[in-house]
Amino acid sequence: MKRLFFLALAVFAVMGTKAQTADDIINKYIEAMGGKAKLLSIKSVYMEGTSVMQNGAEITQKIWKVDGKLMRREISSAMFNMVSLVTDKEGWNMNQRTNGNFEPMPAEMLATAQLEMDCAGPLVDYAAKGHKVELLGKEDVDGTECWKLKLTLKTGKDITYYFDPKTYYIFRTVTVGGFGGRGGGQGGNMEMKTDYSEYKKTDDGYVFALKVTIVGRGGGLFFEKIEVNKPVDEKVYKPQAL
Amino acid sequence: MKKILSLLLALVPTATFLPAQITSSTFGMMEARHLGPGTMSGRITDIKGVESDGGKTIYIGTAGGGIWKTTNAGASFKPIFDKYVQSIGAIAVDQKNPKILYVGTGESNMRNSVSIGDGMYKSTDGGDNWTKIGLDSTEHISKIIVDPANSSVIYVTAPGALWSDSKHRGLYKSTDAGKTWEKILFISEKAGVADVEIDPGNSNILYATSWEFRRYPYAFNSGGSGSGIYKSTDAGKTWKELTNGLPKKPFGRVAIALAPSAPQNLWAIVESENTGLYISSDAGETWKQQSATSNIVSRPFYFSTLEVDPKDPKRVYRPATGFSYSSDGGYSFADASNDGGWVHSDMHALWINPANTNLMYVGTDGGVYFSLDRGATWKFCNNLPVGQFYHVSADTQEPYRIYGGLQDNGSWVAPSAFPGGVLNGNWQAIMGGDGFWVQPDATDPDFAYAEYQGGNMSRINIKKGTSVFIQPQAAAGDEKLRYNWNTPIVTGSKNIANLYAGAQYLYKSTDHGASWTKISPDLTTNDKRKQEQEKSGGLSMDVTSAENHCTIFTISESPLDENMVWVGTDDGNLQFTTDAGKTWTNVAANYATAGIPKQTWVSSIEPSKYDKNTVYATFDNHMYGDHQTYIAVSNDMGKTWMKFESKEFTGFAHKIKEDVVNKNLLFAGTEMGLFASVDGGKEWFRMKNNIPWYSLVRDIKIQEETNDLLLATHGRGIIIVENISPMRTITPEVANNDVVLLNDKPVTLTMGKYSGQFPNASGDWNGGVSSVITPIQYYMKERANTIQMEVYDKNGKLLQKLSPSNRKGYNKVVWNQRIAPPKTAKGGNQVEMAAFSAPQVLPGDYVIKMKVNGKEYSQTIKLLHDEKNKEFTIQDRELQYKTGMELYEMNERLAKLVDSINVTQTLLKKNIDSASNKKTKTLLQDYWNKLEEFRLTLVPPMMKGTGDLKRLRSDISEVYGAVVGQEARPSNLQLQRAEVLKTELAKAEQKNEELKQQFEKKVMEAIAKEKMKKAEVKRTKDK
Repeated sequence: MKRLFFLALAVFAVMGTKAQTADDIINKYIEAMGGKAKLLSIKSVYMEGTSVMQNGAEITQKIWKVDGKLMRREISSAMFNMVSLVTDKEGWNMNQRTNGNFEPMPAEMLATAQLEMDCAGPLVDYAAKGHKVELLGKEDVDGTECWKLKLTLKTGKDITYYFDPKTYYIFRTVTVGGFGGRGGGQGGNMEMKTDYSEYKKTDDGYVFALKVTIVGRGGGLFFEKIEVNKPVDEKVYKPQAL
Repeated sequence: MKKILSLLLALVPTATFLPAQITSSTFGMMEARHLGPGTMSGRITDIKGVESDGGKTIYIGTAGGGIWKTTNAGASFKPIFDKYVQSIGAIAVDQKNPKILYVGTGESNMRNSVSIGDGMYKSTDGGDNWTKIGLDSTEHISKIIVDPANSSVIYVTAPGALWSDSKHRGLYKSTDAGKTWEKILFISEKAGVADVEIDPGNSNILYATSWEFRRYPYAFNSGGSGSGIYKSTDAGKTWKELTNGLPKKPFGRVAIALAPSAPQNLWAIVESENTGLYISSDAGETWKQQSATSNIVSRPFYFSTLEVDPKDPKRVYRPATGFSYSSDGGYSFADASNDGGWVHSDMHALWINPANTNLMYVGTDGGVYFSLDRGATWKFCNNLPVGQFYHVSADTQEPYRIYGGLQDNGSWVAPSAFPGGVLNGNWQAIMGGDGFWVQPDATDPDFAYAEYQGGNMSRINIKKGTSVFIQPQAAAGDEKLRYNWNTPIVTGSKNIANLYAGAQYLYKSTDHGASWTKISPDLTTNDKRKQEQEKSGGLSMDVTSAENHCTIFTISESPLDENMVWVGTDDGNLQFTTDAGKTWTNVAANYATAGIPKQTWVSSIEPSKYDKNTVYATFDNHMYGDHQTYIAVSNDMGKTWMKFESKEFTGFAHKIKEDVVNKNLLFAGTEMGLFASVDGGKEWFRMKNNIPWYSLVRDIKIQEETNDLLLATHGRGIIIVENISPMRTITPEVANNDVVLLNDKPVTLTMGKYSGQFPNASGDWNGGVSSVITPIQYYMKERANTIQMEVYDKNGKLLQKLSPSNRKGYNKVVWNQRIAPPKTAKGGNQVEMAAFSAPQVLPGDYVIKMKVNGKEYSQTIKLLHDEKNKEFTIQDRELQYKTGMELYEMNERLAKLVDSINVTQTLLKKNIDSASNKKTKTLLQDYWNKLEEFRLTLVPPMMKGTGDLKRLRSDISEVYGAVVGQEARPSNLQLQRAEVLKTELAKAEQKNEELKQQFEKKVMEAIAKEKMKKAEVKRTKDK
């Protein structure tokens, strides 16, 4: 009995003191997301969701990703329509400023946006992808002491991740200066905080955050439909309206 | 074993059973607004740029506002040190790895109000993240050098503690990039090292200057045997003192500089009995004095910057009281011109861009300026809100105005809110010099009281811009009046017509300062040993009133009784009267028994508004080298005191503030943070709410109409935490509930405020937009996994879906008090106004339904008409709503009509392309054409270029936008216009019907025929 007691105490002691490394955190995150094999098995994904603006108007967002080949995001509302389309070779933007035409994406924006074609996410096999990580300890995010980790992408830009210490899901990311065509102009200083919540497992076992909220910019985007590994029509790759 | 297992289970934390802890993050959503100003900035202590990016990235160190970074040469700045001590001494960039930064905290411009630091910090990612790397007890750091030949070698000069002896002074060296430190030059516990230079061509050669100095609350001394100039030729292992040609010792502070392009050339400004400029052209072995202007040798303890152009060894710069530059190696100096505007005096930092040496940035007591012509003329960066307020006040206007005095930057007034945000231009200067207390005259909004250093106070007519000097004068038999640097001038809390001012005596005026009555004897210790200010300064006389002592420092009239007045002095007395000054009781001995040192400055007194016997006070003993936080309460009119204890506290205390609604809610401001307690002072937490964690909080006010918390920070200007009501409502008991909706108070309907204001000019600081619409508020004990919120009218009709936050603690989400915008017709290039707006709902009850993790919560919220708005009656509102809804429906009818046309056109297009029969093709095309012609009367065509052509959609949208977008009765012509457009819409609907009748049957038959034909062909083929 004594032995059991000390064993149990020892287990608690180890749980309390073991230093976490960046890789420990990433591995736990990958595990929480269904495991590396599961993440790597995502060859394509289609996501559709809505958000509500402060004036009560709804915005619909549709995203197609094909691993390493495509990322198309369409945002539409009663007020505007926007498309950003990136393939492994080229990128285009269509919005009010382009008069509804698909205009080629500037090179720097393209390089950053292309990182979003990574279906498993940049943390999986980050080193092989040319990214670097640094664990920055714990930090309070809205009352939760999150693990903080900085990923420096091969493009030179970085993403700061905050992981929920209980679930190891991503709680928040922070990017600066025009990430993926969002968050201010390229090279600007604007900081963009994005919160992730409502993690759910799909019927086929993939884990997604159903709610994605850009902090301070109105309502969060709620994904009502997520499809993994469904065929993607060739026209989705084309710089034209669907 | 069972027992042990249950013990083990008990050890496992079960958060759900624990009471909710109220911390800063509970109220994290109440994010502060930083009002600035940027028009008058604050003291800058260091400026360093990144050489490899051409000087676009620059770091600015400030006296009390942390570090600010620009990546665009100053077009915009952002703070990057908000979680750490805000007083910055020095910054260094490792130019070989420019993402690596070193920061020494604790400014070394050793004036009376200088703050302290807690050592060295390092960042390896350009300031995003920081690690503390030692030298924690140095208190003040003046310079950091990264060896240009070896990035692992760092030198740090620590003049060290100002108010006490210290062994943590000297020159420190690290050879492992900041992991460990070795003290390589130590003179004494009284003399630290103030300056260091490294020979860029030979890193073994170092020059350092030591400095003996000391401040007391009542005197300053710069100079002593510990001051000198030293040289090392073995990277700091050994040192020799340089003397040849230098003046007779003792020295005071010495600023030294070498020419990077010809490092045998050195310059030194040596404070001594004969302070002067000395030049060496043989690497310090011999020196020669050169004549110098007064600016070159001015206030050496305060102005210690001397720089040489990185490329031109003859170009020497001396930023001091003013800006001087030499083109002949320091033999003669010229002064910068004020062409283009005044440049703030008192300069402490200069960075010359090595890639373009015409471009340089100077740091002054009033912010950063840049020059494009080698320092001859300067342009101000008006976007650095690092002003150093001593006090803040507010009046009761709407929006209320904020008043405050800034270190070396005068006295100011600004509105708390302005449509589009409070800009630099909204600030009005009402007095010069150093600013301290600025008090609105609560009896007349046109007047305020302001002062400059040493009690030079005036009554200001803000409207007219006139002032009357009202400082109380010594009467026959009085001792010479002693006014503090930061003299209190205070209006009554119970009787707003009372005005008080303190020298060593307390004065009261009931006629706006026109006449005064002395209502006390000398309330200080009147210790004559502490009154020899004329001898202050050391080697250089420095008599500015900054050391005035044995003076009254704080005055507070009880909010419950105007005859009860509390007074605190800078030499430890805490006295009160209950008979308007006839008799006084000194309770200094009583607070000392609670563990608060005697003779400490009584920095603030807060008589309670709930109980006459209760009084709070803060005590500041840092001028005796003691940085502890002393905050205490007495519940028996000062007889006994209880000191508040908290492991959260940092920094000496400036201010305690009792809430005006909840007596258990307290705020405390210290030299290193803002703290709050929701349980009467038992537990305290640091308030982080977008407030730098270690802000220098000098004063706190609560504006009672808005419940805004106002902070006078000494380095980040005025900070406003809007509406602190949740801190009153979310008591520890309330916080134990999983979810609480907090909308029980009626809310007045409003559309906000607009103006014709242009966006702020590039670079101008914007103090943020104040919230206009009262948000929907709720509390959650834990972060929600799922959350939804909807607003319904009383009949259960869904009006809007909202996007609530799921964060733990207090939350708010704005419902714009409108229904969702209408659907608008598609077409044209741009979006109609109508798609953005909807009619504001009518006063009445509305239901908020919230679902948190699947559980439903609801609350009825009452919306009221604004009865104060006489230009918009309830009848006006009802007509506006009715008209707005009619136009809303017209938008939707038009959208439906255009949608039906689009659907038909799409069908026609498809069949035109596939039709084989020419007649059918023609018929379909004809219908399509007619529809297109008709459609383009309703919505504009898609065209290349800007703007849209006016069509029915824009006609409806225009009048709709005007009616629903303003708090006004629709005009007669707007009402008529709505009727006209209704008729036009009906006609359009009719026209569509006519076209349908004309074509639909024929078209459908033709299409059916085509289909049959195709099917037949297919069948034939299949056979």
